[in-house]
Amino acid sequence: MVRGRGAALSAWLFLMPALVLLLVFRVFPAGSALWHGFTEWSGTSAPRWIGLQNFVELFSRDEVFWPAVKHNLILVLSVPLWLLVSLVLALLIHEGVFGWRFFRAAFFLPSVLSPVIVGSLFTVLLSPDGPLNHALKSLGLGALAFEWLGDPATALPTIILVILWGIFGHGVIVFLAGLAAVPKEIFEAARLDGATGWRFLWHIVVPSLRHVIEFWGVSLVVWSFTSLFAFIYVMTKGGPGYCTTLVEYHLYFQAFEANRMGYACALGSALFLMVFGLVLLQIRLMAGREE
Amino acid sequence: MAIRRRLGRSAIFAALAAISVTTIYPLVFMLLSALKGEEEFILNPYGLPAHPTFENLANAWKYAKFGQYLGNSFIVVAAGVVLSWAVCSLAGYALSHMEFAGRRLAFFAILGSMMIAPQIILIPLHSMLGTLGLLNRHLGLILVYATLAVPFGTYLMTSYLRGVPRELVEAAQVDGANHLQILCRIMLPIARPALMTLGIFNFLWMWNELLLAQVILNEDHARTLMVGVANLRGQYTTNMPYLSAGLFLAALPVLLIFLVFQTQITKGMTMGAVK
Repeated sequence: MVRGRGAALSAWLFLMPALVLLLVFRVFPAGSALWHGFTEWSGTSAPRWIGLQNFVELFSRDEVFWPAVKHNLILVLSVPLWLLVSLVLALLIHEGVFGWRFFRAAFFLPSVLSPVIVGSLFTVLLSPDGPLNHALKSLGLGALAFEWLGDPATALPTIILVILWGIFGHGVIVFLAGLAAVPKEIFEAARLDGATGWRFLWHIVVPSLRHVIEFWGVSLVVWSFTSLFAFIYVMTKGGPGYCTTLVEYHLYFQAFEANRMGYACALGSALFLMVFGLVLLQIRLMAGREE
Repeated sequence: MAIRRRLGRSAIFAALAAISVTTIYPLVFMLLSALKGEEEFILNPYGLPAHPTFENLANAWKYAKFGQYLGNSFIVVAAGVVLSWAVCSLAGYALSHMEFAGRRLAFFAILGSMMIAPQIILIPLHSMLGTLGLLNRHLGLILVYATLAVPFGTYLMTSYLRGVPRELVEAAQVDGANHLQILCRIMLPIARPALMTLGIFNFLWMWNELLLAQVILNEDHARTLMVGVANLRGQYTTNMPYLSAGLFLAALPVLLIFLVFQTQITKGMTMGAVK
């Protein structure tokens, strides 16, 4: 390590570009958002201080906010399913099933595509006269053909499945990287002891991968709150009605469709409260391997 | 027992194959549709095109301004990737090879900024960039992307550079090299795999990003490809071959990167989860 006062000065000089960018384009706007949450502001006019009114409206009168929170929570509840799917597939690939290289690439493929592309693609595939319904009809299952994204009952579950399609491969490679770090002997010994199927998964694999599963689980939850805008925007625009509106989409809508910038900033503060603890946990899990 | 095991293996293989079909078929459907004329698509939506045509691709390129959007995307993403390389290498070097009061604090402050999700700062960013005259200018989005790339990139570069032996740095200092020279001549050549990983990872998310691009580059002339595609949908949903052609063009750069750099992408996407 290089020490001394001169070294400290050059260290801060080296950190300067990163810190300046973060202060100007991330920390300052965050403070500004917090403040504007207490104002009425259309974006063009000057903001007017209105105290807690935005928050009162948000929590008690906004007809969309609580349903949006509920939709976010449904997504969070589906995270264990996403973890399980990725974990089982990673394990099968790790065990070297025939064609595992191909499967690894095929599963990973969707996760490099933009949500814009994934969303558009599935809007086409799932449209009332699209390929899925066509296939169902030709299999004699016409009764199951459906307006998947247009019906309040199926819109959200369908979107969740599309998102799962887009993300599960990422989970597979994360778990594969984790599995590669587990000593072979552990799995072999368990096999010799006769552990198979679910017992093998639950008692041997899950404990060996605990840290990876924790990290990926937390990442997915954070991601479900903050990275799904494009899916919703492209597939349903939050509809039908508000059936697929998430908190982040509600924020976008209030800001750029309804021109209620102050109100949207209050929504941003609410969103921050939902995720910041999770992100702290995520950082701890990342840094735990560093320090 | 042996038969049971073989049956089990076949069942597993079949299941994995079925999942692969669901991940690959949508893309094949997209490509095949893009190569069909509108009439042929109505008569034969699922088979191979009998008379492949490149008309849709050409039209998407020309009339839907894909060429222009593609150029915008390349400018923004290339500049964002390069800027992030520079910023994160500097910070990563300081955090891994320089001892100073507040090093840990700086490291955690940089990672801690991840708590501020893009949605939360979207509106102030929009008005601030407006004041600075950077709205609908590529530079505005480039700076925002580079900023968002700082925490992960710094984390990645710091943990990679930490593995470089300090004797190398000390020897170079004895030879009279300053920190910038050490970084450029010793660290960066060693860190090429990490830079590669970071670059490809940033390329992917910047190329694919919609929300910030949509809000910051809202005017048609400045739009990136994903903004173009997201707003193309409403207009052309009835003409599936045309829409498919647009989607195919938009996905193509990423698919090529995927085919060439799968290993590096995998590395970037598993950083943080495992050492």
